[in-house]
Amino acid sequence: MKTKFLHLCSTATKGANDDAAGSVVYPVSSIRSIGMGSMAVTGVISASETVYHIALDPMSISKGAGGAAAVLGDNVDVINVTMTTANNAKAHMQELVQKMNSGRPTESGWINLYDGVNATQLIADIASVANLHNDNS
Amino acid sequence: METYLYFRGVANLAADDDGTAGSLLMPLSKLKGMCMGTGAITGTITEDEDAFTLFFEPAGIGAGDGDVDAGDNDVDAVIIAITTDNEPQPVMQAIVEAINSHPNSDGFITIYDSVAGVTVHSDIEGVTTARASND
Repeated sequence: MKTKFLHLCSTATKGANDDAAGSVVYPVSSIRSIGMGSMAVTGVISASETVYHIALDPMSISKGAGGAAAVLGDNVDVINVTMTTANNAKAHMQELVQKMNSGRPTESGWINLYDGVNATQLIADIASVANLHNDNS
Repeated sequence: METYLYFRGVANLAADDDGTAGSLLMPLSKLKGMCMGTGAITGTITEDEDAFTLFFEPAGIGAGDGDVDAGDNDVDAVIIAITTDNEPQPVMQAIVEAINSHPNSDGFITIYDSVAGVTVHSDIEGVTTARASND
């Protein structure tokens, strides 16, 4: 079984691909859940007909986080995906899961969810993505 | 079997002696993600057109509930310098492909070794590391 990774690049400007709004890669194993609505790093979900969220283990906070910055340590990373078609999250979820679980030997393990710079995406109905990246400071 | 990622960014073999750019082997299972820009152990990302960061669970901080402080939340960071500005995607993809390319290997994957001249992608020009500790 290959180790799958999810890539996204929120920005559409190549020159802006220089921070967490640019290319970001998460192991698929970091996904905690995918659900409808827009999520904040605190886990609060705001209703939206065109946005679903992928909640992830935070890339830049240790799993053993029990330090003084306890509130920060409890936050999660989030990818908010905006769809062109309202209320269409189930179709996206199914396609994403099929890709994550695909066992085709020709696949490398790299899943390009969305790349604004190169105008490529896994699902045609994705209009844009936003990455909410936590740090511990 | 666990897969391990190897990094070395020192100028020569004699300089392979510390935790800044010397030999570093990290379990793949500790890889938390990759992010464009230069990352610190606090997770802060500084804009950088020609570097991206691999974040790992910290090797130098235990899981115990000792003298807790904010630093317990820190992570290890491996910063990959690239030649082509604002174009990390091919290099990131090459790392993923290297991770998955040899299912029957011994599990040792060299991402970049400046001394031996080995790299998973020709656009990598250097590696430095930032290591968290329990101090």
